[in-house]
Amino acid sequence: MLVDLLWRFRFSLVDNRRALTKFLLAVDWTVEGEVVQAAELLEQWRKRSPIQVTDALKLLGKQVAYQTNLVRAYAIDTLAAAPDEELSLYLLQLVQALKFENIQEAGVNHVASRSTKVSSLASFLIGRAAENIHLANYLYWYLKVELQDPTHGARYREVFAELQERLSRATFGRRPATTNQSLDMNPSSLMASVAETGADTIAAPFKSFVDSAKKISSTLRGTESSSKNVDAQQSTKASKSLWDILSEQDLFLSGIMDAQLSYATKSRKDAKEAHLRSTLASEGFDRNPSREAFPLPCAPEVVVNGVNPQTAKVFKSAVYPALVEFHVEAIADKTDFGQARIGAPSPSGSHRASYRAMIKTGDDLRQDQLVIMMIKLMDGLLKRSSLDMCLTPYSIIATSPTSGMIEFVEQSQPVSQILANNNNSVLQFLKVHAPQSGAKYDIRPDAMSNYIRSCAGYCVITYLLGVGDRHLDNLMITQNGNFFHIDFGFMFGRDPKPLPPAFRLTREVSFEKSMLLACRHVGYKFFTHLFTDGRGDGRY
Amino acid sequence: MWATNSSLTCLQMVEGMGGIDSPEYRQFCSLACQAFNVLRKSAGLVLNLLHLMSDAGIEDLSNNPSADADGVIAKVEERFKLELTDQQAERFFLNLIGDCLAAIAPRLMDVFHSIAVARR
Repeated sequence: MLVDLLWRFRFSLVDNRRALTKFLLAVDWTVEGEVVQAAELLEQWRKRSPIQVTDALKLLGKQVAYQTNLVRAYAIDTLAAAPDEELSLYLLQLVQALKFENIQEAGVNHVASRSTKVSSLASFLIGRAAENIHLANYLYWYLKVELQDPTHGARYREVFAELQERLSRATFGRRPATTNQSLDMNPSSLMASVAETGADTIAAPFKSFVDSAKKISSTLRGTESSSKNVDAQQSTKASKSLWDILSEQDLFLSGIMDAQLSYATKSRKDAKEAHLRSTLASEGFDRNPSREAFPLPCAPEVVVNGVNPQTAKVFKSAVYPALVEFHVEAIADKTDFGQARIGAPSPSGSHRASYRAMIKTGDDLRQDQLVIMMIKLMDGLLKRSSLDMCLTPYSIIATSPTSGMIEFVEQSQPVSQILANNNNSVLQFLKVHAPQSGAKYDIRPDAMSNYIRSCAGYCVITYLLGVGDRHLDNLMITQNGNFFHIDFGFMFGRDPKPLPPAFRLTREVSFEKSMLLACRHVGYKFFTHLFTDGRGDGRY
Repeated sequence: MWATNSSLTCLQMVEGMGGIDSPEYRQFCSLACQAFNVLRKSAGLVLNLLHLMSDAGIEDLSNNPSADADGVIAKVEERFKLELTDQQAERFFLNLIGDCLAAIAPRLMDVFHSIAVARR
């Protein structure tokens, strides 16, 4: 028996980190002697061949062998070493891993120590969220989606309550220890950097922080007060807690969604649009200086204040999604993941005055969200191997199992539209939007490079994930040549296409002319060659 | 192997690179193969993350008519072609792109789709 063998050779396996997951499956967790020995071995394993994040994620999985606190604590230890940005790539899955925790064991913990109401994985995630607004934002929404889950809802409600408890005590954009330190070191230079970037563009939360920082620095200079006094100053100048900010954001978004739901009764698209615009204007969704700016749920690095009611649009599709333009107050630096500090308005030219997002009610975005996360992850893996495939993992968040918001990628068009407006030619489109005379094809080399790289990147990723239902309306190209896919309603090999086992000649012939038109730029000869080839091939 | 290759690419996309005889198209093929091999090395991470999603209410993972979540993820694993060497994997992916360009069905469906949309 393999299991027995693994157990017998357990002592020689500790040098092989890959053997760990297999070994844990071999342990009989009901036998006390084995558990004690397993604990000792885990300790040796940790010292001699520490596991990597990949294995740690496996240890948080569904298998019963992994559902012991001992194993999960080991996995969490490994994850704790990951920086915030990396952790955010696994957060969606880590929130799911809460479902695989052994309830009985958690129950024992309840009795043993009343102080920890939630599992160690949950408190690890909450702890990290309290120190980083980006993680807090994602954790908030990933948990919120699960609150109504029929099997696991109760557990998630407990974790959510704990998150509220913890975030109500945390404030936006600073870790008390580190910011105090930086203020102690050089308060005046921080002030100077704020002045340079222009205080009026700074989001309100940053402003309040700036204010409190100013107070502290004056205290430091004037009275040389002790650090205790500084702390007191900080707490009296009550800036909003992380929880307050997230609740406001939630309230604002659900307000827009309510406006969206209320137009369901209007029959025509124009009437819906007019209704949405007037509701947004009359119910105070527009920019309001007295409102504190908040991070966008789908892209917390973007801090916004209100929307522009007049540019709101309604799309003609099954659920009539709304396109809403947010007023951007600040965009945190990408390199400064979630550690929003003073001077957050982006120093590079990436500052945008507005950010458009699509808001959907009546549609399950969880699958799309998973796919985007996988693209983001793969993008990171490729970049680590110095392969920038110029991908567009646009922002997306499911705010419930039936609603959510999606970033609207500016200056992009569906390929169907591009072909229709550019004489059926992508090359022509690139020539028009990224021209450079003298360059090859008269197209800017960077745009051509973007195009080739993004095509190659999506080609591999969509193959691996089995993305289905591809047609020219859900393939997009930006004016800079970035090609990308949208709408991931059919995944993992599922496809709505009625692919017949044999090539049905009669119907296709009537479409032959349009097909020729669509493909003529590749060459009539090539096409007809393929066409006859295809006809003989039983696959089609 | 899943049946559809339609997600890979289509003739119109290749046309935008200057056609199948252009150096740009060759660069595209080479980049795709490189990316495939890079991602193959992290297949474990991708698969472990997918496994954690098996109870997340993801429609095509949990309610896929072809298999249960474990079965669906096993098929993703097959797609990584972990049994192949880097060189073999490169050849495999080049063939895949070639097959896909030869497939006519996806483009037919594009025509159907645009007609359907126009009638809407």
